[in-house]
Amino acid sequence: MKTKALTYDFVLSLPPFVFKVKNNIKFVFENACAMYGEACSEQLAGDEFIDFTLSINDGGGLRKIFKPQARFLCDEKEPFKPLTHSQAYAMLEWGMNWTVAAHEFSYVIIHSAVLEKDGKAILFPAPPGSGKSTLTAFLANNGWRLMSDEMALITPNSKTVTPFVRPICLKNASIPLAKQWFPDSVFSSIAKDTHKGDVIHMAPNKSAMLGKQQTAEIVGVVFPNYDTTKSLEIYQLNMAESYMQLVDNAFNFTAIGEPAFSTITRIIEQVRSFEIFYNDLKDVEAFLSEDVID
Amino acid sequence: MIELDVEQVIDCYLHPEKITALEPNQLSTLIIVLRQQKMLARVAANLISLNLLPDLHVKAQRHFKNAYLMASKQKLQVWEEAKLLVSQLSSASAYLIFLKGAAYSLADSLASNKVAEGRYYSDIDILVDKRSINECEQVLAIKGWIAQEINNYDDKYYRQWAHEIPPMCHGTRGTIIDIHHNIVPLISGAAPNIQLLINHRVLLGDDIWVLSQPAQFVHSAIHLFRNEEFSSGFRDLTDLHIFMKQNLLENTCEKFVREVIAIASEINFAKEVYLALYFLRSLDKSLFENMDDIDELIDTHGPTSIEKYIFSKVLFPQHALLDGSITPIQQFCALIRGHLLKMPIHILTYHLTVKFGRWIVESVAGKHFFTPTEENQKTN
Amino acid sequence: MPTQYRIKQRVLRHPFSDGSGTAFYDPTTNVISSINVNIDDLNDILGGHKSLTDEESDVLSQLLSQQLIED
Repeated sequence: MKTKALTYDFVLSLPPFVFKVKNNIKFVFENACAMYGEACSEQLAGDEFIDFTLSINDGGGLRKIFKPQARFLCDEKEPFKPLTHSQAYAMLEWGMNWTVAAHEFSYVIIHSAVLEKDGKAILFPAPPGSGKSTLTAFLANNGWRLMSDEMALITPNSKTVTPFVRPICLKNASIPLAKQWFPDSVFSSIAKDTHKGDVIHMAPNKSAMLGKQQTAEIVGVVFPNYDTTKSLEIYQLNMAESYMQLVDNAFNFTAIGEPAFSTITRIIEQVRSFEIFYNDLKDVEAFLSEDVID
Repeated sequence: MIELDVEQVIDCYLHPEKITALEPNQLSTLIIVLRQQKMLARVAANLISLNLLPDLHVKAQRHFKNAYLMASKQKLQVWEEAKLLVSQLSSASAYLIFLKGAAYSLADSLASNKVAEGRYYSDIDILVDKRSINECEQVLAIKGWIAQEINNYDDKYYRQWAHEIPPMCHGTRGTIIDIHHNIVPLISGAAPNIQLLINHRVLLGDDIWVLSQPAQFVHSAIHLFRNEEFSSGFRDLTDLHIFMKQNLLENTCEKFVREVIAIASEINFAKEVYLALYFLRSLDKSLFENMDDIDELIDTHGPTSIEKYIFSKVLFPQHALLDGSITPIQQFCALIRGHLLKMPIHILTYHLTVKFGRWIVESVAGKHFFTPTEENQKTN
Repeated sequence: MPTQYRIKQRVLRHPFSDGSGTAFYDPTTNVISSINVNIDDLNDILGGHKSLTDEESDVLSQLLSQQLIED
């Protein structure tokens, strides 16, 4: 008889996707419960359709005892090298992003935060280090609805963006700041020394979870750059400039091809794009509310 | 609770209409299994051609469409990629023939080739003249192709014993090519006079050559039945099935099979072709109706009992979600059989000592004992 | 007589309505590109009827190296 190893499997129902997660690391399950609340369950509710089967494990064997790792698999594919054990939960979050970006072509996917107010959405496409997530966390707790921290799912040939509500990934210096600013928020355990530095995830708040199936129309694109020397400087981008920046952040452009090209050029034509340099989040919020969404 | 079994997955491939009768949880299992088997786009193509997609759960439709789109996109690109390779290598090698997945796609650009429908491939396989293989490698390196990093042992394996050189990856486009000079490893002692196979090439246009359909079938069968690893076994078997099916529809099945047997005999691989025909017959009897002579030939030259034992499992989908589908003993036998076919026993022993030494360490110490974690890499 | 070029037929193009430039996408090679030249000026550059400034030559060589145009 084989003895069954201890497992902490769970299902994440995160519209528009359902993930089944096979897992043998206890704190991964605990973090998932903290981050997603009711959307995280041990059993599948009824006949929900599972989109992807993922697994997180500690590498097994002797490794588990003297130097535990964290491995991520989507089906049986392993897209990343293993990380250290404490990074297991962060790895699951990144793994879900990878899974969607690598398989989903019914949306044009832009690496971008998405925030909504009055049914109007703004995209914040940005590479790591631009302060995007801190800005996202601030806006999500100051009158804006968090639709996504990492990926904008855009219906081809439209300006409609579908939410994919996930925790906000905060790094290094922004971790104590966020804990101080948002004392009521729920945070994951810290993943130490990742390729992005120390990383923590902040659970989406109630308004984000309530609106998790509510789409919105894109009205603006803002490329953020955190800059300690500037409280707020705004540059409106011309279409050609905005196009190249947006394309740089498009995960699945080449997989989708023509519809991605027409979708992105159409958005560029129909909404204004800005590049901002800032250190004052309140000023940014005022600019977005007063100048971009009205 | 058994959600889905191997038989049902095979049935869904052969009779796509059965997919519409599955419960949502079975359907989601089917999609996950097919994706892992690299069969999702192929089944999607079947569903689309029969206009069955609208009858499915809306989420299932999305997954099938995603996979189909991915495969179609690849087909769109392969001709340009092939033209580029031909122009870069035309002066280096006396001939250049596209093989396997890329060849199916290229042939489809001219006349409908059902094997190409929903067939994706991770690399482009080409066959060039052995005498000019170093020159090909150098030309490609100048044109931005980068040899993939492999360890010294593997490099030695490629250079001394193999029928190909280590894969090369294009620096900006990310395309991977596998450059072969024969179809089986030289060390196996079975490598044919490649000229005999080249005689069966056909020109598609733009100086792009592939093997004739019967020769493609033979190559495919050799590749499948001399392999040691079967994660794409079912996909490869269905490649062969679709070749047959296409001929069945055109009433040319018997002629096709006879040509296949003739080519295989010419290059001394009749064994592999009979194995292919045998397991195709067990997959789909309808292929061999009214072909009594061929039936008899298959019975005479078919698999040994150990081959039956191995292939009746490893050629069909194996996935943790399919109850009882995973057969480690058969997989192990297939591994040993495949290796034995590749090289003589004394070299095999050496090869396996190196490979299995790693394998044993990994199975005890964890899969990634030899893989640096991100953390270690940073400090290195 | 300088060479005349044209955009390859399969290449998708989008001239931005603010005149800031033109976007391209080649679905068979997956090249995604854009230039800061609007479509009218681009046609002049490709037409081969005028002597090109350094910037215009750069645009031409960019499009050539990305195989988006042919003569």
